[in-house]
Amino acid sequence: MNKRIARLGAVFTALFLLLTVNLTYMQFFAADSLTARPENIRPLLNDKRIKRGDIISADEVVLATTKKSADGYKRSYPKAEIAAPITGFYSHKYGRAGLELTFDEYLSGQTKVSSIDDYIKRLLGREAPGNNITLTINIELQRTAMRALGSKKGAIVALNPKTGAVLALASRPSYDPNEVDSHWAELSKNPDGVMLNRALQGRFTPGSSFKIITAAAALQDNVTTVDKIYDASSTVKIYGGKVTNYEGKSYGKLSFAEAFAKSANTVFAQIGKELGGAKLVDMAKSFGFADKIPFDLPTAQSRIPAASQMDDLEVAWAAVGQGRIQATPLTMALAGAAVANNGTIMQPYVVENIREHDGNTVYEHRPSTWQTPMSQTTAETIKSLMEKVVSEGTGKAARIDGVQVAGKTGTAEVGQKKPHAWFVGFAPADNPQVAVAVIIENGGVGGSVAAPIAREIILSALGKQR
Amino acid sequence: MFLALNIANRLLVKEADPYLLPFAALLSGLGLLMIWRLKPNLATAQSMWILAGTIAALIALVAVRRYQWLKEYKYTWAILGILLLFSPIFIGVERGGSKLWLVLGPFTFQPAEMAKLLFVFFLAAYLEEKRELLSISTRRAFKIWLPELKHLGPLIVMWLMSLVILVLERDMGTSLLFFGLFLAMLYVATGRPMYVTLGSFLFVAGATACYFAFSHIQTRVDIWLDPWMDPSGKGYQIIQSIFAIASGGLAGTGLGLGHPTLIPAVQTDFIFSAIAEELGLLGGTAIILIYLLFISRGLHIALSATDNFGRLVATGLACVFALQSFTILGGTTKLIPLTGVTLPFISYGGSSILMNFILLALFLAVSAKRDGAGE
Repeated sequence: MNKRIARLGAVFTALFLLLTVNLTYMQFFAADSLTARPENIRPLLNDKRIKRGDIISADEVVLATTKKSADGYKRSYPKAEIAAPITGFYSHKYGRAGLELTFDEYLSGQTKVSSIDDYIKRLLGREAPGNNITLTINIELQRTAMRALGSKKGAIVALNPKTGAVLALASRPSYDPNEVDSHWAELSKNPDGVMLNRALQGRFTPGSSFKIITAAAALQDNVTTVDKIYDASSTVKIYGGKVTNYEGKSYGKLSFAEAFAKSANTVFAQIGKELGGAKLVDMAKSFGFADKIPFDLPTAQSRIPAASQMDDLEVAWAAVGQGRIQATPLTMALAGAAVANNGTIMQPYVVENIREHDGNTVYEHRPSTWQTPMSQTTAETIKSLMEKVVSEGTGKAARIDGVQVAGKTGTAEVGQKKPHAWFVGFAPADNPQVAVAVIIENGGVGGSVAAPIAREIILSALGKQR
Repeated sequence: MFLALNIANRLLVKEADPYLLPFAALLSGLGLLMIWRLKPNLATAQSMWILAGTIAALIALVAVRRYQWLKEYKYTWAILGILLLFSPIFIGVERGGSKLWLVLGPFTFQPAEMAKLLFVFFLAAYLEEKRELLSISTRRAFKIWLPELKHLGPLIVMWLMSLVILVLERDMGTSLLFFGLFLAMLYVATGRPMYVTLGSFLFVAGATACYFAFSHIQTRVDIWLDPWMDPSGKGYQIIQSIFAIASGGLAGTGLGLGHPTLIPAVQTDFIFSAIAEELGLLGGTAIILIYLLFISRGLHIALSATDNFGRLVATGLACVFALQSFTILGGTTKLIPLTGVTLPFISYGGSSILMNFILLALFLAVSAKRDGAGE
């Protein structure tokens, strides 16, 4: 009989071990997928219990905070649609976007249990509120940028070229993150894409603003010099096709510097042909066209076709910034910043530091170099070319008394619609404090539409009254 | 109060098993803690029940110190057990779809809990007496040994009884428990796997027939197979249990920091889900292992018992305990179809607590006799 009792014991042991195996599966291997199921309201209940940290601008204005309501904690955005391109939104129902998404773990303070100490704290129910995030954004400049765009579709990026600190990140149309829960359907289905951050994720044909990159490639490779004379008549024939100047203008003979200032396409087409696709594409890649730009917010990748995918005509058009090239406003702002900062692009960032609720710093940004697309000499040369654009070329509308502004306009042709208006620049030229990229979608000519807006931004950034 | 019980234990039954009482104290203490956290207004009642349980255990210990007298009344136990088991059909009240409760003044009472113990007594006594007969008198048919037809009587009776519980009281858990208990004891007593095979076959046949005949059983099984088909209706309880367990993770959310109250009946049948959520895989596994240890101590007592009756009583008690805890642990973790039974010592519920403390006392009584049996 004893043998049979022992056998019975073995059966029970097997059954209970099966229980532990099943429990391990549920709590360890399948836990995340089960928690993510839409029927599960636990994540939502947990969220409502957490006091998320604040998002604060560099000038100490609260952009996102948490308020207590009868139903638990609720997120509030005092600057509404002005700061929406940066803060994004946080909704119990519809998820999160912007910094609310990328810095979710810090804001919620809900990092996974990493130590015995954490576990004890958790057992005791002492959960700290989330961390506060301080940004590099200057809310005054941000407001200026959003107002400058007004009802126009477009984007503005302003940053400090010496550190990579982003000062303003504007995108229109925008939305009020406070209304995400109540107006989700209209916001998410809006045909103009109000929730798309054009400054980081909008891809546009760069047009002539891309000539900064073409110039960098040509000067770096000694294909041209500032004084080299080109034929700048209205049309240039390239392998059975042609490249034309904007509105068919003919400039006669121009030096390279003059061609840059007047944005003569035919000259750049010749330079592109001479330079070749490979070198042009390589230079674009070192300006950040190769990958998504690493950033504190989600970015899209700027695009340029591989050299092998382009014939000579397309290379010539690419040198002018037309064709299958697509750039995000952030990429173009960094191109301006590269020239401003002696050929070096600093890693762009928007989060300056992260502090726990008791002031303890958990993260602090340290400026670092991201790309060095050109030498200091080349950067100096392009800087002088860009100064000329503003002082006597297409970018005169960006001129400021007493401040030397450097820039490049762009009028990107996009088929039947009005062209995109671009301005990429920085100021003051001798000691750059701010680099800026402005794009107005289908806004018209860069020099007359985007340049005045850039002027406003530069004025505000340099702390001058309009 | 555990101290008092322990002292009494030491005085009354020397040489008793030293592990069982601490296990019971640990489990019922944890249960009380969880009930306090889940349904604070029930905590006082539960602590009263635990107190009552220890007193009942004390009385039982005094009464069954020389447990051999139990076997003299085996038919009394059987009749009493059947009466208790079936009384709710006639005079009981229905709760949560099952008819299991009797109302006695201010208390409601689940007679099936007590019937489990009585059946252990009966079966132990009956099998001790008849085991020779049951294991020897077999005849050959179709090249396999079959017991004589008249000895199959008890098997058939038990089978029918299980089905009656299943059908009339709508209680799958108890039905399974009684039949499983019977088969396990029959096997241990006679050593004929034939009984187990035949019994299992009968049970599967009966259960299958019930699956097709009764919609509530069909629903249970369907929910087990795919709870997601009706997540807010029929599958709600088990899905909430799964979510609770999943959110516990390795270390749990911490006591009071989970959301176990989302699960209906969390303080009774689903208390393990709350433990798994708030104490995690570590806590949950610890609980499962404590149950396994309790069972292994029970079987150890059975092995060390010096007489067959004691051996069978201890085996039966271990079976009741094992089957009951496995049924509900497996049910809440979706390992097997869910049947509503309580988790011994931890779940809220007076009848369950009382029954388990008496079970504990019986184990102690049997374990104590191992040295004195020769006297």
